Amino acid sequence: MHQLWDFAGVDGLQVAKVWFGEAIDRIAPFQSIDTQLNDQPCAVLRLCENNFRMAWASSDSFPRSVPPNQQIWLRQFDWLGTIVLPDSTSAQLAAIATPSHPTAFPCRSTAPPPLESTDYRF
Amino acid sequence: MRLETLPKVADLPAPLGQVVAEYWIAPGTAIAYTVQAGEYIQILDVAGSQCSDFLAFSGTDHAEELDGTATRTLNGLAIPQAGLLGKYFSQRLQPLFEVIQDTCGRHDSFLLACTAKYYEDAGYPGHPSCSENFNRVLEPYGIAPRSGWAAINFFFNTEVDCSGAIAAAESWSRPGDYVLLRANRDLLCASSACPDDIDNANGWRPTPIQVRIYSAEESFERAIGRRATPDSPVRLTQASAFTTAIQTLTDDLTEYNGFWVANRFTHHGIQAEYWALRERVALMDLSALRKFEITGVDALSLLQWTFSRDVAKLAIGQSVYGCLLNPHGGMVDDGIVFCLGEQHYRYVGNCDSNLSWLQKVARQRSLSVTLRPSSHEWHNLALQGPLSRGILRSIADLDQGTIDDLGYFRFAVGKIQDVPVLISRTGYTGELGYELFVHPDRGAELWRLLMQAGKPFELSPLGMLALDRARIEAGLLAAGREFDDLTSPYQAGISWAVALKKPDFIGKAALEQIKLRPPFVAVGLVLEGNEVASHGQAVYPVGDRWRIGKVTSATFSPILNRSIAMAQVAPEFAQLGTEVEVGLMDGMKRRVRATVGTLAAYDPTKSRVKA
Repeated sequence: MHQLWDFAGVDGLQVAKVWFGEAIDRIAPFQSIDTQLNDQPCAVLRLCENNFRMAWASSDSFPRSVPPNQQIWLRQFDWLGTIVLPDSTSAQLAAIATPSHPTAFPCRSTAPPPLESTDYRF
Repeated sequence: MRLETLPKVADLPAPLGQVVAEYWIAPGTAIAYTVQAGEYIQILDVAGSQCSDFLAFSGTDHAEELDGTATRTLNGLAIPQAGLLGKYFSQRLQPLFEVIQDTCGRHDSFLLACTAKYYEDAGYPGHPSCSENFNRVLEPYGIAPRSGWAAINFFFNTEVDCSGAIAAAESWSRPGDYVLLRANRDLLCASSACPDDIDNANGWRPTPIQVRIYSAEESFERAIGRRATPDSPVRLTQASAFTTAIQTLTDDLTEYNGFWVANRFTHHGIQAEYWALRERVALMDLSALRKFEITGVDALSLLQWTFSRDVAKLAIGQSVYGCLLNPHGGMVDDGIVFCLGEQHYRYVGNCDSNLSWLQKVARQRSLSVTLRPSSHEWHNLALQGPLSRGILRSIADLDQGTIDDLGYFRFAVGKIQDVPVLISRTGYTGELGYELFVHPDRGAELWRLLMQAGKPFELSPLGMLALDRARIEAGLLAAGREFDDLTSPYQAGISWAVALKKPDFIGKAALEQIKLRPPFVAVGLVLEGNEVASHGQAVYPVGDRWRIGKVTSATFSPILNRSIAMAQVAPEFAQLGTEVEVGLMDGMKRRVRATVGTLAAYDPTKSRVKA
C-alpha cells in the first residue's frame, strides 16, 4: 500500500534535500529516485524545480514535519492514486511520452498524459 | 503610380516541392480550401507587408476549430515557432497543424481578423473586412457567420507592450516571405489577403497572397528564417555536423543563432547534465558560433583597430577573448581571436554580420586584408569538465606536444584517431575544458569517438539549459543579456579585456571617458532565499524606491545552493558586500535582499579553468 504525498513551494528543493539528501537534486523533472523514509521504501518523483511527489510504502502517518521557515505546502490529494502497469506497457508509453523521451521510457521516469494523437517528436 | 504596381506571378519564389494545388488570393478577398492530413500549406506574401488571416476547422467535424488561446497556452508562446513548440491547437486541445518554416517571425494571435465594426468605428462604413470575407467563403460549408473571427493573423505585426497595450504596425514581412504549415489532420481552411488600407497594417496598400499546397509525400525540414543584416537573404535554421547524432539522444531541440541545438537530453536533464559538467565531463555542440578567417599583411592591423585586446601580443597557437567595438564604445560582439600565423587570424564570435562590419572597416582604412567566412568549414564541440583532459589524453594526438602541455587559451592541431581537429583550451562553463573544431564532414565521427572515449569517465551530453546555469555561475557574458551594442565592456564586466594602452582603436576615445565612471558596472548578486530573479528585474538600494540597476541573468546555483544573479548597477553600489534589493514582480510587492559579490559567483579566481 502506497501513500502519495506532495510537497511544493519556493523552498521545495531545500526541504527535499533535508529529507532525502543531495541526490534529489541530481534528477530532472519527471524522474524519480528510490529511497527510504522511516525505513520504509519511498519513491520521490520530481515534478519541477521545487515540486515533488512521494510514494511511501507505509500506512503510518507522515513522519516528517516541514522544517521551520521553509515555505512549502505538504498535502495528500484524495483524488490522486496509483495503478501498476506491467512492464510490457513500457514500449507503448514511449510513444506517448513527452519530448524528452525519444526512444524509451525507462525506469524512474514518468510523463504527463498526452494529448490524443499528439506527436511530440521533433 | 507605385501604389498601382502589383507583382506578377513570375516574381514569386519557386515552389518548395510538388505542388498539388495553388490559390491566388486577390487583394482584399479571401478563399476557403481543403487540405488532407500530412499536406503542407505555404502562405506566401507576394509583395511584402501584407497580412493573411487564417482559419482552420477539422475536416470531419467543422465544430472543432483553430483556437488561438489554446495554442498560446499549450505552447507558452504568443505565436508557435517552428520546432518543438510549433503546433496550433483546437478548442479541444488537439493539434490541427504545425508551422514547419517561417521566414517572417512576426504574426498575431491576439486580435480578431479585421471586422466591419473596425472600419465603421474608423469612419469607413461598408469597407470590406476579412471577417465578412470569411463569412462569405465559409457559408457553402455550412459554417455560420460571425461578427468577428478569432483568426491567426499571419504577417500581422502586433505586440503586447509592458503596459498591456496591443500595438499594431506595418508588417515585417518582405516580398516572398512565407509560413509553411503541415496539416495534422484533414482540414477546411480559410485564408485572406487583408483589405485594410486605412492604416499601416498592410503598408497602406493591400496586395495579393499566394497559397500553395504541397504533397504529403514531401518532407520539409523545420526551420526559422532570419536575416543577418538588412540586405542579407533569409537563412534557414541549420543542422550542425552533430545534430543527427544528437537527435538520437533528445527531441528537445531549440533554435539558437541559426542552428538547432539541444535544450536537454533524454534520461539526463538539466540537473544531471549540470553535475556531469561540474564533477566529471560533458560534451556540447557549439557549432552556432561564427568563424571568420582574417588574412593578409594588414590582418593584424585590422584586428588591432576593431578588437578590444592587444592582438599583437599573441604568439602563433595562442588565442584571446575580447570584443569588437563600435565608435561609442559599445560591444558589437564578443568572441575569441586565434593566431594561426603572422598574417592569419581566426575570429570566433556570434554574428554573421561581423563580416560586413569588418569588411567595411577594412575598406575605410584601405587595409590589405582578406576576410572570409569559414563557419561552414568548422563545426565545434565543447568538451568541458574536470575530467575532459583525461578523455583527450586517451585519444588526442597533437602535432606538437601533448594535451597536458596545452595551456589556457592555447590551441593545437592534431587528430582524434584519424579525424583532423583543432583543439582549443577554451570554454564557456567555468570548468577546465576544450573546444574541438572539425570539418563538418567528419563531425559525426568525432561525436561518436568522444562519446565512446568518454564512457569510462561517465561523459554526459550537455544542453543549453544546463550550460546557461553554468555560465551564469561563472560570470560569463551572453549577448542580448549582459551586452549589446549600447553596452561598453566596462559596464558588461570585462574591463580587463580592453587594451587602452594600444595606440588607437575603434571606440578608444569613448571608452577612456566611460572608464572614468561607467553608468553601470557588472556585479554578481547572491540573493537571500530560494526565489530566482529574472532578466530585467530592477535592483534597488535597501529601503529606497529608486532603481540603481537591473538583473541581466539569474539562476539557482546547485553547487553553491544559492539563488544568484548577474546584474549591472550604478558604481556607487558595486562594492563587494554592499546590500541591495532585487524587486520581484512589480518591484514593490516583494523585494529580496541581495549581497554584491564578484561577477563570477563560482570559482571567481578561475582556478578550475586554469588547472
